Amino acid sequence: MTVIHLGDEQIPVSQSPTKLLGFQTWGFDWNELSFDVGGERGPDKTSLELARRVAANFEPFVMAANEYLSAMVSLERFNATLPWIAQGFEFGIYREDSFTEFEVCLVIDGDTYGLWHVRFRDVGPPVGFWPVAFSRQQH
Amino acid sequence: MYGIQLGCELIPLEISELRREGWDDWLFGWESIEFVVAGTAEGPDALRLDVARRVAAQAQHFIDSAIKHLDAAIAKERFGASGDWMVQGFEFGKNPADSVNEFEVWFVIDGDIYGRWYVKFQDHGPPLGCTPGAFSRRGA
Repeated sequence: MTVIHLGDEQIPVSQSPTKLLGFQTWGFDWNELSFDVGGERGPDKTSLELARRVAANFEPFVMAANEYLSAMVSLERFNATLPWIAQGFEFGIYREDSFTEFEVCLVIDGDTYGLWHVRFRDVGPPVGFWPVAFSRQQH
Repeated sequence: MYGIQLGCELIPLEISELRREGWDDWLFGWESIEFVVAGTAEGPDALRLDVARRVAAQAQHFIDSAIKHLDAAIAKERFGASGDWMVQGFEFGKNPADSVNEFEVWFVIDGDIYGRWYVKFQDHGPPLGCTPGAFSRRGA
């Protein structure tokens, strides 16, 4: 079984029951968030290492996602109230995903059926990971 | 609230009018709007092409509905955008995860240089029809 080290803890990475486009996903939970990683016979090593790094310091990404969405979305029109709350992170779960990108999945009070994603891309130093896209899906 | 009923009318189109782009995308233009249909190196996916031709026949309905969907959620003034959403094209199967009943229309807007705004429709069949279920902004 694959494990990752976060702080002093050893976190098991288990196979997820869901399969996307024939791509198996793998996941671990950390601070009540799910971290999903794509891979064929096991979690892709590059994606898993990125997931581990993001998990170790996830709060700034949730904050940046909130700022990014707030800069464009009119919450009043949804009757929604801040903040967007993170549900989990996704790393390379679609075949076309790049190893330098990941997404955070969020929900917000008042938007019962909305599932929001913000995509971060590593644009290189000194900026690092930067929000480049978002989506809202009705579910 | 009901969506748009996808009609049976097809715009006239010969396969030879389609232009291949990249490895497996096929393009045609209709009323100055670009329609992209996914396929293979041999040609566009026949089912998606059929949907594209039917959507093209009533494109303005989808454009209006998509704009309404965006305006219900997006505060243009917050990021310095102004003016109207300008439709650029429709895409059918560009995301391989999309079913044949799903397609996207995309827009740009003045002031958001790097943004492409997409609204995804899904055809639920009668009586609901096609409804916008998702929107997104992607960097150009």
